Amino acid sequence: MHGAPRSPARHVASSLAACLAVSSLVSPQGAEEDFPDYATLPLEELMTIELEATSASRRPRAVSDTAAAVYVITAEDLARSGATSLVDALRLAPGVQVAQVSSNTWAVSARGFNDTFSNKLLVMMDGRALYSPIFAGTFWDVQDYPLGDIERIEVVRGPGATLWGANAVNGVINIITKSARETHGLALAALAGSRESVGTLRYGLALDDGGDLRVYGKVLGRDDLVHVGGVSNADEWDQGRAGFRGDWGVEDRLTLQGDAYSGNGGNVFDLASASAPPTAPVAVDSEVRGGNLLARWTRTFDSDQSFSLQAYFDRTERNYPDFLSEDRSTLDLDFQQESALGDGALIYGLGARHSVASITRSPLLSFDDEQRDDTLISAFAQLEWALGERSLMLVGTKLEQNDVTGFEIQPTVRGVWHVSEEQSVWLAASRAVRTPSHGEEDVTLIAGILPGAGSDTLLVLKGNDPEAESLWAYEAGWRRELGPRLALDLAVFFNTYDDLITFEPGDPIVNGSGDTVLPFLTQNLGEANTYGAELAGTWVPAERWELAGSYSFLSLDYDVESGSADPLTQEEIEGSSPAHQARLSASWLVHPDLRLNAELAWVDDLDHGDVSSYTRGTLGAEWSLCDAARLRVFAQNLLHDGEREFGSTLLQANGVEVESAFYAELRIGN
Amino acid sequence: MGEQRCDRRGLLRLLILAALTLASAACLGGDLHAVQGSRKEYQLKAAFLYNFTSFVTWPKERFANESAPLVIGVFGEDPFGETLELTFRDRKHGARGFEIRRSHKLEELQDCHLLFAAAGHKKDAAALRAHCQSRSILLVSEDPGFLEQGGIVNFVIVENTVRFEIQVDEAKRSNLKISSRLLRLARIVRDREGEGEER
Repeated sequence: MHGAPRSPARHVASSLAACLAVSSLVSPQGAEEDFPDYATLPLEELMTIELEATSASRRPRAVSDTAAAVYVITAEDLARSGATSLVDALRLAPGVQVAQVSSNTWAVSARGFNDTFSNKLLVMMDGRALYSPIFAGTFWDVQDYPLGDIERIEVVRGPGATLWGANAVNGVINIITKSARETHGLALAALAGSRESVGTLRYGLALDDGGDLRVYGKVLGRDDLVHVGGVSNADEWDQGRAGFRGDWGVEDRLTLQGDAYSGNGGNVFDLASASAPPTAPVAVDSEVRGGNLLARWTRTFDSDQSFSLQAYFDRTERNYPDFLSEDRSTLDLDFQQESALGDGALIYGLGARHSVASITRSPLLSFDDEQRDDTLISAFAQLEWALGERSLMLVGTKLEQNDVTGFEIQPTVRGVWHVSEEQSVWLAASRAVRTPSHGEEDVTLIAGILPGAGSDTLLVLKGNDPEAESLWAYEAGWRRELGPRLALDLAVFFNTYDDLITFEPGDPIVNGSGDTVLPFLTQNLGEANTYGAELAGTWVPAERWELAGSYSFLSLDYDVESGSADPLTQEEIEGSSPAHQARLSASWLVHPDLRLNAELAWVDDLDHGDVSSYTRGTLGAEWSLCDAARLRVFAQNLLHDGEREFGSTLLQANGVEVESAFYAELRIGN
Repeated sequence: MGEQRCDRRGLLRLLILAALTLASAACLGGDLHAVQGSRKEYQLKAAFLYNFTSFVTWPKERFANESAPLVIGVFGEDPFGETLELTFRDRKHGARGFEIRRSHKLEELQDCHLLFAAAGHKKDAAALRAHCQSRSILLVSEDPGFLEQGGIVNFVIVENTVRFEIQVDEAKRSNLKISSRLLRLARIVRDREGEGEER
């Protein structure tokens, strides 16, 4: 199909040789596969190791107590999944749409509105927003971490705006890394295969002052993918990153962490062209660089009062030469206090974020302000109280003042009722808003050129200071344990969106060079209703077997208000998120030293871009070679070779063909 | 189009598989093992149990001889699965090894030294207390408020971490000595005024 592939065998052989040389340095660890032997730790440390979901309630609690649709991807799920990146791992969560658009670009959303410029999902890592205000979404190419040091990924479908603020409209994803207490020693992982190679090195130690520290480095290289017809997408991708995390204290906990990364890649963008109207594919390089530094102090008084104070600085640089470059620095402060109050709790918090950006202009793409700074001030309060022995009610609201749309209120009411030890039911109603991105606010993008005699007509997308989009969401859920081996989790929702941003044709004007400009201006003339259901289950049929499955259904009905002449948005939004998705995975511990994993996933077709439905298979095996070394081989995208996962987006004419891929990975140490 | 049909068949296969899975799940009863999401919690709790044994002194007559094993019991529901075996298998308590015993019947758990009662067994608190107090068994539970009804050590989740509380008066009544190092890390619970021996 395309140029000579790299030799996977050679990659594997050289990585193996390198790893085996190092393995002699590593002290033996607990032999059992997947079993972290916490009994080696003293009680003081055991008491600091964190458990489960925090994103949905902003305070830790078991998933079964949460009045929201939460799915937790555990470290074990990650290791067994065959995902080689954080974004691929999100495919494990029900109700989440993940589609690969190029080797370094993904469309990710929850409960619909999927796009590479998907803007209704809030993604965070360890409390730091992975958010780009330029398009109100997440650049997935730079979101990475050594996967072995990820503690869990919490995926909340439905609005989380009361706690987390604007953008947490359709969902919140919180990626949580392990405490440095859990990552002592040397760990090395080398992955090589037909599509990418990844090397990770981490060292963790206990400090003399009672704290713990780890440092890591990671490099990855991905091959290019191809379009229909075998044309390369010129999207080879290389990235390196390094970082650290330190944790101190028990009652008084301090966390310091930071990362720095640098990478480059490319993509074929569909850009306006007079010679091949209206647009022509152009290979555009991308250079990305950035870093962050975060400090968080959490103090617990007795067991019924605590506060936390967090500050982070984040720097991102993104450059598409001759097209767009953005340098951004963000400072974020967050304070949260929680107090027990009778049978319930009061949680409140204050946050401030200041972001300074410089954005360069190019002939095709410009923003009104080349330098801009934005300030966001927010406050939230949430009251929880018990209604009798078995029910918990929760009311709360977020108040937010931003520079773009002013003051926003985002309230929620939630309740969970424990019918019995094995069964609970929850209900929720919430409002959330999404503030317009810089792009929607004031972009000028020449999206296409129609040449004419003497003068051309330019099709221009133009930001026109729209208002915020808003959502009222009504949700319900049911969780049931059928014996100790089978658990089911069902969530249903009805969402009603208003003031969705459309692109409305404006009056043509003639610009300085005599060309006609046909502008499409952002306005709030769209509305939509969605409803759907997500069912997830886990089953442990026998001692060494684990099965998990999920099914997600989504119906999305988009409409424009009278007065709208937006020609494209309806078809694109309605046609870009699959109506049905299903997934089934099995894990079998054949022998204490050997585990087999298999997964089958099915994704429905997309009307936009005429993307066929597809079935994706993953097969993997993991051996413990000796106490300190493990070998994993796996195959991704089986039954799914050379098919697209997504249609066209604003800049990318068509998704690439995703290929089957085969990998081997050697891990040494924990 | 052919490709599409193929994929629809893929979905069909998947649904059939899921249906068969659910159906056979409904038919299967049997042994008790931890459900996936809470595994880490019980890996931690197993490590806590191991740690507890080093900070508790049992009356000498609770052991047949110097090398008799220290017996860890699980009453009723077992949320640990193989985690307990993995945690205790290569470890020693002085010259003693560990033995793990599970049962739904208290009479089969008479020679335990530590007895764990999973969440949901608060309703059995009175029976457990009667069973454990006279035999100097360290009763460990994980239900909020368990210590008000018997029990010596109770796991609680605070700030997303596993913590524990200790009923020191009940420990004394059970003739168990608990090291101050352990007490220092616990939330201490005592009898309420007017309660005590006669309770």
